[in-house]
Amino acid sequence: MFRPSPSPFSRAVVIMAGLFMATPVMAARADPAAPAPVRPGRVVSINLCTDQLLLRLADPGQVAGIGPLARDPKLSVESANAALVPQVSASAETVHALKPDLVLAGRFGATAAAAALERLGVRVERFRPADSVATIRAGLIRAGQLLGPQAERRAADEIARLDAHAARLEALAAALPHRLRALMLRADGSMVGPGGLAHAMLTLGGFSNIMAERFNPDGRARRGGDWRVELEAAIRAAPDVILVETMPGAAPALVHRLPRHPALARLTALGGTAPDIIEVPGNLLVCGLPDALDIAERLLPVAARLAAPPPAAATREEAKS
Amino acid sequence: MLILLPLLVGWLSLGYGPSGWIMPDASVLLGLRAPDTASGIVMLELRLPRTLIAMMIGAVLGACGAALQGLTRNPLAEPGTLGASSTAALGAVAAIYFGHAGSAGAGPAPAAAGLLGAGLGLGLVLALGRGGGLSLILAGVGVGALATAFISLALTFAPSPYATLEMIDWLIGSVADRTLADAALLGPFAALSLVLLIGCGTGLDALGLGERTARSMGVKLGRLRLQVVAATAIGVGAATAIAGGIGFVGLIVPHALRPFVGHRPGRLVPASMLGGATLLPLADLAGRLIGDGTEIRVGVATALIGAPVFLHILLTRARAERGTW
Repeated sequence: MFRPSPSPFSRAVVIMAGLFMATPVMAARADPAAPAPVRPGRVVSINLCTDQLLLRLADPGQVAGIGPLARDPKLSVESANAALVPQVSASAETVHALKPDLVLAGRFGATAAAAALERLGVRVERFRPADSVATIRAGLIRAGQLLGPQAERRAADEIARLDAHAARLEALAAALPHRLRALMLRADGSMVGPGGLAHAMLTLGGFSNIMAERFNPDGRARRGGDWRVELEAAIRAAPDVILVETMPGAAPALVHRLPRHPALARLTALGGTAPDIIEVPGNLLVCGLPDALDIAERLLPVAARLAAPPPAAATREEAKS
Repeated sequence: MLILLPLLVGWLSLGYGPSGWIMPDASVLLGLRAPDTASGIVMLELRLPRTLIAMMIGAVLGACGAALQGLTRNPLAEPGTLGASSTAALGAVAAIYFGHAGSAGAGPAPAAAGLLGAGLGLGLVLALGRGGGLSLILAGVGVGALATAFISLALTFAPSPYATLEMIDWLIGSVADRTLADAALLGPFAALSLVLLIGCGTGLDALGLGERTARSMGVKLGRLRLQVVAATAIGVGAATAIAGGIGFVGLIVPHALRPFVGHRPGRLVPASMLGGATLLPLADLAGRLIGDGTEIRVGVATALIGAPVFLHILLTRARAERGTW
């Protein structure tokens, strides 16, 4: 079993690194009720997740520029639309040259560029990474309000679909006989911890996250996000299922080796106590868009199938205790 | 005594880990029996490769450090300060990111490219630092810095969203989560490198008495130099392709052992091999246990020990103008 973890320091470094790498969307600090006074005619986004939010909600012609990553189908669900609008690098100078009325930025990425644009008198709105259905909804509402009445209507449609989808998934997850304990490996070798979007989709998908056990359940400060845990500690914590995030076509990287480690392949040969290993496409988990719920949608049948045979599950519980 | 230490540390490294003690099971480790528990798999697929790799890389780095210090007659020489680790990492990075390697990591291509990088880097450093002594180290620092810059540049341009994490792996070094295939790839390179280095013993001993004396004793200096450089390139190149650049082992191990072998480079090389094979798994084990499930990279652990020793050497060297090594 995992030991309680009193050394959050080294972990914080990993979490910070994670935040800089993928900076997904979310609603923010400021008053979400205040609508934009006028519809901004030229909007630039300098964050992968606000890029997609902008492409989904804005009027044609309203987008003056988006970041380069949004065209990558491995990272973006709006890659086709992204190819139709100008591309801009996240530097204050290039963005300012586009004379935007509004710049959408992430809370954590390109902070220097965003701050410089504000000093130049450009209106910058920052979005936090979404980590739940509620924060995905809040992000849509805020972006709609910022972009104008047409965008607000589109956001309302998206939210209606999102809420219906979430409600249906929650009902299905609640109907499961029990929740299996899952470990989820990200493509970069980190493990999904409580607090992030992947954890939310894991839970909505009918699993309980084994990494949540590392936290003191008595309400001591909880830390969210993904971090790297020794694989051996994770394996010996005996998860029922191991979810492996895949990034097909991604550039080679040393960090991609962990999810393919032979130790995982060998686990499946253990017989009665073997965890199932399920691959999960990672591109929907990069940003907090309604599409992220498709992950939970795909996980639910797996959770239902694995939780179904009660005798096997019972022996497994005994083996664990 | 020195032979038993690596074995003891290796055994501890197999048994201890962040998930607690597992009694090493010889039949599983020798492949006689497939592991039938999660603990057995952890032992065979996670702890065994990292222990073997740490021991091999420690041995190579220790022996290379001793041989390079003997060859250059400079106490600061080691694969890291002479730029070999960085140039090897650059070679491996180039092979992985711009080669045909569909999958990252273990494979003969990155190892061969690392070897080539280390060889070219060392050759360049030896050519630039012909003045010997300090100019050699300065050339090494310069070439190493250039290689490091190119690694960062390559990773920035490679379309990897994980460039930052990658740089840490290559520049600091880690033996975490390597596989048995990695260990099998490293094995022959490490063995060849160690055989070549130990074979240099007599020549290095003679060189310790001065170049002229060595020549009069029949030592062919050009051949000796080539043998040490080739062995370093082979060993450090493959080690870096597997684990990134692990610094300071080659520096501190020879210095720690020199008083015990009577300041004879020929005896220091095998002693440093065993010392390195002890120190690196020990540092790795410490990094695993201190981190409580989140490992401290072995490169960090060795640098934490190595940097103060490095400074100590600089200080004592400044005081006593010339020492023997």
